[in-house]
Amino acid sequence: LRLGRRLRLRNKGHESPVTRSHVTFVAAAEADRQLATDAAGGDEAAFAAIFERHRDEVYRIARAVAGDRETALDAVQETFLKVHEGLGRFRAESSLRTWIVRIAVRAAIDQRRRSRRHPNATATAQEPSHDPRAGLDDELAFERVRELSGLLPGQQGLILRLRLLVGLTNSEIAETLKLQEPNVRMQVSKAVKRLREML
Amino acid sequence: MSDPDDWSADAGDELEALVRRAQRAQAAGMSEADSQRVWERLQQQRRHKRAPRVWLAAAVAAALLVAAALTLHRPQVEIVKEVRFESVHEGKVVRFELTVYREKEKPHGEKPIR
Repeated sequence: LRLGRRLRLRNKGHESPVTRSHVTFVAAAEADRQLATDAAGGDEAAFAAIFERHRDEVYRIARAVAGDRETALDAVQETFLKVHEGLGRFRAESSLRTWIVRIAVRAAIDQRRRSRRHPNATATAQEPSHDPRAGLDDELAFERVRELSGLLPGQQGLILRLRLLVGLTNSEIAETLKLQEPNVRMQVSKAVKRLREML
Repeated sequence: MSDPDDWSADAGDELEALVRRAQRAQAAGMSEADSQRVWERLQQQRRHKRAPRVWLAAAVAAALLVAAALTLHRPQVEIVKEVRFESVHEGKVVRFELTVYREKEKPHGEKPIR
């Protein structure tokens, strides 16, 4: 059924949507590479552009892994600090995005650990713990998925959050966590089934 | 590349609906105000990290200057005599070394103590 839907999508226009997204992806990766080179050479505007291009995804990762908004913002800050420090060592073996995603996941895990050790260190009384722009119903659903995935064994919870709440593909998760893609696919499938049983 | 929705086949309607709502909560990304705040804090943190490095570089430069100044102002000496003597007796080595030197420039202002 899914294959049929894809074929219908391809036949709708003259240009395949898959090809178009691939072209966009390659162009973005090329632009990222140039920005990384410029930022490593001390170009502040290039670093600001990297921040601008990747901040939303880093924030989504931080929210999915670390939980509350303040901890997530701290994780975003930590991620870009590490990105800035590491740009000189960045080799274009992987894309800049993959490299940033990897740093973001690690920073979010560290930040979550830190905030658990010092529960009130980051949260302030005036700041809501959730994103005020999101609807309450959606926010509750987000918390519920996070809570349930936290009950999964080993790395399944993290894999599931990156897959469902961040929208990373299986291969991106595999590259980020240094796992094999079939392993990630299997873990996602198992985790989704367990989550379904928990509901 | 995996299909972004390949998980939904195992999810069932209830879980899928829950995940879709959770994804909507994530869709907005970072607000402009939060982004501005993080960017400012990031700049501050970078400045703080840079400051000790600047101090360290300044301290190293100062130490090098002092070492260079001491080397340049070390009194020049002229070796007058060098004697070296070595003897081996019952497996023991006795070594004697004597160096007599004279400073090339005597300070003029120095008065003898009476």
